[in-house]
Amino acid sequence: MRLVPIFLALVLPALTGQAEPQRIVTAGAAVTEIACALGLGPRLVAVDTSSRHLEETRDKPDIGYVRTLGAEGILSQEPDLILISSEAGPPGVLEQLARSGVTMITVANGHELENIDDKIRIIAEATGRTSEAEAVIARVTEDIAALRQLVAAGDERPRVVFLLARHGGSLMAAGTETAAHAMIEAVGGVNAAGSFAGFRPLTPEFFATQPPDFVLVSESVGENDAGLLEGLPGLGAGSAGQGPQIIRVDDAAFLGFGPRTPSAAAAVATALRRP
Amino acid sequence: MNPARQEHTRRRTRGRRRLLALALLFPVVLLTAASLGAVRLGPADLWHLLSGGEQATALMRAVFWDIRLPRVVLAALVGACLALAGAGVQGLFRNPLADPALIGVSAGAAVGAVLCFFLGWALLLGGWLLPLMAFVGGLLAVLVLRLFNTGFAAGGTAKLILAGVALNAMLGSVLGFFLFSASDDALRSMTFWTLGSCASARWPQTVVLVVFLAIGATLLWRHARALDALQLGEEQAAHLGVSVRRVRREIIIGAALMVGAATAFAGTIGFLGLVAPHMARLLLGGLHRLVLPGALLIGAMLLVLADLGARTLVAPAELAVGILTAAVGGPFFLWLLRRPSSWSAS
Repeated sequence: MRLVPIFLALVLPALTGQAEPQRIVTAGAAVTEIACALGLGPRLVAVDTSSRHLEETRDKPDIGYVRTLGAEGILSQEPDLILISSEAGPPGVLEQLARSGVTMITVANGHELENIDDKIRIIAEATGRTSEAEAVIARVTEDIAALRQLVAAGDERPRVVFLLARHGGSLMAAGTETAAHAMIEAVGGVNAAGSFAGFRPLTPEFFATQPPDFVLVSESVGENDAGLLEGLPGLGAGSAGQGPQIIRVDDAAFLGFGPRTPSAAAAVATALRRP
Repeated sequence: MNPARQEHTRRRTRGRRRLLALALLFPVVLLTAASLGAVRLGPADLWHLLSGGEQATALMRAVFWDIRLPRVVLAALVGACLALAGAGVQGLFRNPLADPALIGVSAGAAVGAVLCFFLGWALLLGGWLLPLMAFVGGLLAVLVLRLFNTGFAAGGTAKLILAGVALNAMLGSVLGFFLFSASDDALRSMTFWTLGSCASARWPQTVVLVVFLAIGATLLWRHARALDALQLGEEQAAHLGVSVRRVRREIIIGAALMVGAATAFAGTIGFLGLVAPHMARLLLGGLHRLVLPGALLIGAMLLVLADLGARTLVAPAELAVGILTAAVGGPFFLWLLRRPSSWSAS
């Protein structure tokens, strides 16, 4: 009878699914960041391309772009848990993965700061890291509260536009239904490009007729791309300080809706309120 | 027997031998592709899998039977459909640059699929609505084109080609508009679809494709001799008793069914439909009884090999198959073109 508790200790975790996964594959930057924040970095055996910005994941095998995953490539890493963000695809490949018998958990990737703690809880539960999760959630909640305070203190809502300098010249601006739009609202700005949904090429005249107060660009935009902004009316050196101010953001943190997003947002909110 | 006749017979025999060689090469290519992948399977593992032995792990079984094999088979069928349709359309239009895309079916299918993403319907009907809409889009485009299949007098084919070009341009602008108005999410799915991929293969899809390949192949095969006669010109073919309009109609429908179904499951894959038939002609000679099956086999093998590269070269990630169809087929095609007297053989 002495053996019963030992037997239960060995079998129960397996039966209730509480066995901690040892080989995890993640797809989606927020999901990976949360896994790393929970101390699971060493257990990640492969991550998607968008997740390789972290120190811990830089040298992990790359399973490709989050929307064009391949089932066999992922399974070749012999994972016992696949954590994917809801934007992962294509759907046919997710179906193949689901049929393979490996546990797969999809984490909804909405554009709300309030849902970051839900993501953390889902991942913590799947990996048995609920106690570690409490600390991460507490920090995220604190950062969101600090951000809210900053935003409430401001009396004016500045006009902000988020630009992607891509495709060799055309400037793409983030309209509604984008992560950037949600973040502009969250930091207390008004999206100056809020008249359309998704990313659209912006006409240069936009800056002359409806000049924004601030332009957000990704840190990863190179020097050449930054020069691109200068040619526009009302932007850059030509307008001698009257034009909008350019703020560079770490887009993985600012737009990821992961554990670092609230603090990155607070930094931007502070920059918006600087005289 | 006169020397010209002798030469003709000699070429035909050589073409038949080469077709047989292609047919023998085909299972070798299929088996090679099925044995290679991101998950390493040794000869012993393959034997266990194929013989139903118990030694294969659950992971191996899932990967081989549920992911890799349907994918290899789907790639073979898609390649076969595209290349066979290309052979038919090129023979019909007597134009070396004719591509199955010319009859509007690929662009129509793309509009159908993109509309499906645009409306957010891509996952409806268990994921079958997307291929269905792509297929219907392709067929509708071809039905519009068929309105221009009037009369066979001189210029009839030229009119059809021009109508195809105009139709493609119009569908292209519809496509561009959807891409412009799409949400970020839908846009990424659309772009992925238009690049083509066999990654989402499922067995039921391969069954559907077999049916369409069989219908298309039957329609084209029935007109193989008529296609030979058409190479002399439409009027000459008519004098030889070929009903040009009927041949045109049935070959276009056959090609549309095959390309529509292939595109519905794998997205738009270029280059194969244009180049595989030329390869068949260069290797086997100009007789359509040889060119049609030859193009089918070459197209199937090319896409299986391109897809093999797509899923292994950057594993565990995936490469877009469209990048590889040209990379695999292009050099081989140029080599064929470079051979002395390559065109005289066709």
